Amino acid sequence: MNKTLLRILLLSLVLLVLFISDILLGTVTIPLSEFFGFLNGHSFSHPSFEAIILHYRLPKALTACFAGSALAVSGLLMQSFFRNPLAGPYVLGISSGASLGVALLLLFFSGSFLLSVPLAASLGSFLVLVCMIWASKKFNSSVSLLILGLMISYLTGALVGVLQYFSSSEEIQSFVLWGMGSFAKTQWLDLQIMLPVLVLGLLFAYSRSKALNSLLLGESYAQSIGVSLKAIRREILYLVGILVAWVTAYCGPIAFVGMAVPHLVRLGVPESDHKITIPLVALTGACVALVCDLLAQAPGLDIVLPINSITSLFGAPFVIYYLLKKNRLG
Amino acid sequence: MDKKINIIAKNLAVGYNEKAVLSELNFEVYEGELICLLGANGKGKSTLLKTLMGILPIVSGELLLKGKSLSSISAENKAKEMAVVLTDSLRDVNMKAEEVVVTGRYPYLSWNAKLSTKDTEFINSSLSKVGASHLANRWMVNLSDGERQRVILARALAQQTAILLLDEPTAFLDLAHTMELSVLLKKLSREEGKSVLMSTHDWATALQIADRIFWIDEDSNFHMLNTKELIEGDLLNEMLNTPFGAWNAKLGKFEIKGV
Repeated sequence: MNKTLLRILLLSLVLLVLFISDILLGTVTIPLSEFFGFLNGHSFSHPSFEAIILHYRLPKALTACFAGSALAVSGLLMQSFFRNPLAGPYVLGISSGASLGVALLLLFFSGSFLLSVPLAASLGSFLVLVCMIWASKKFNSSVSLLILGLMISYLTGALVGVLQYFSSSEEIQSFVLWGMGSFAKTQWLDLQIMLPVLVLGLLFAYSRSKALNSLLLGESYAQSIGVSLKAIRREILYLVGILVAWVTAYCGPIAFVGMAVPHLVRLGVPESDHKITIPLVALTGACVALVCDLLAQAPGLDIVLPINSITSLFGAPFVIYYLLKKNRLG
Repeated sequence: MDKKINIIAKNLAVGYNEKAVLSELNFEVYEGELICLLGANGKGKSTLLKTLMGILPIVSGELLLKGKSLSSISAENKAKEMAVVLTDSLRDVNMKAEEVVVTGRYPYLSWNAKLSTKDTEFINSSLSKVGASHLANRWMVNLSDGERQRVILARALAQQTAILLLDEPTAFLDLAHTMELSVLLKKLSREEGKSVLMSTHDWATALQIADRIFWIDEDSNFHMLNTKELIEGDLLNEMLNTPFGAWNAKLGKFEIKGV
């Protein structure tokens, strides 16, 4: 237990350093000394610094932290639930559902107004979610459910393709921009809606540690030690659905964080007790999202790279590396 | 002789998707007895066990656990009466042996799975009963089949139940480990008064350890047999029904013919 506490403290420290870096670095670099001065009540040498930090970088860094945590914990829940290392929010089709919702909005109704993108994404996610919950009642095996999730991803991908074919280039552009993902689109008002939901979701995940540990032994054993399979299955699906829908709505589809972060944690922490892994995965998810955001800022350069490309560029090779390593050991 | 009845089946039919594989089952399982369930593959041994475990719904009839209808008992309360050992070897579970045994205490723990001193005692005594105390801190994947089976049994013991259901617990074990497990299960039924019901293919072992034998024949008929009568009588030969061997009642063993 002490070891776990030490790991959590260490990760929190890393998170703090990354968080401050994320606030200071970017197309405009703000000196660390001025930042500490600002914390002590002094004002910045340049008046725009305060606006950059308060209205742009602070909400962006917070969004990255919580989106990363939520996606990573969703991935962990999926992997425990399906007993499959390749499971993740993407695989369940929830991210694709969100994409479809946004595609319909931007390509079909050509245009967006306040909150319309988040709403469309949530609607799409929940449409898939309802399908999955319905299917989880019909299908006895988790593998069938996993395959269904993949098929839904393909299906929505195809529908989005058809929609794009019939759309004008401006409409496609706004959809493609959303699809690249970004932590920078959230205002304080958005955070007020987004953060409470994500925090509650993460706490709820932690409160289900015991049942999640039972599931590691397989569904039959889990039932034999008092877990109601139907209940936990529904709880996990709702939870993951809500977490992923909210993140995707505000940040666009962020690939690989959900699938890769639990593996990253497993490299250093062999335990699978969810009371240990959920906090560690949440913290690591936040760190990884911040690192990706830092890289996307391309410090020193005048450009901002799309988040989704960064997470995929690093996430995909990492998952391949992990699988190769695991195969060698097995 | 006034033994308590732990399980009663009345006109029970078991199967998948409301289709019966076995039907008209009528039996009782008493405390302190060891029952072996035998029968060819695909005749419903696992189906019956899974139904008893509450994993499969009852097709028709009644199944009573300590006098109460099984379907009316909550999953958590069921878990306090009945522990299981399944065919899954748990080799790929990323846990240490002790962590696996801890899950046996889960029905008694609150949401944060905090162990009391009593829980820890139960975990330790369960591990020592199966001779696996020294394995506590080893990872499941690094144990041998025999060691893993002992840990899985310890997990079931930690659950502190009146009934123990085992699905082919000796399937992966060599002769020495099969014997070891047999002694252990017999001891659990005799000394701790547990109802032990295990499925197996191993007639030789079943005849030595079982108080009673439940046998499912080729036509899916269910028979309750007294082990002593089986050993002394001629029924085993009828059941075997093969030209390649026979039961020798005088020697008390199976003989293979033509070798």
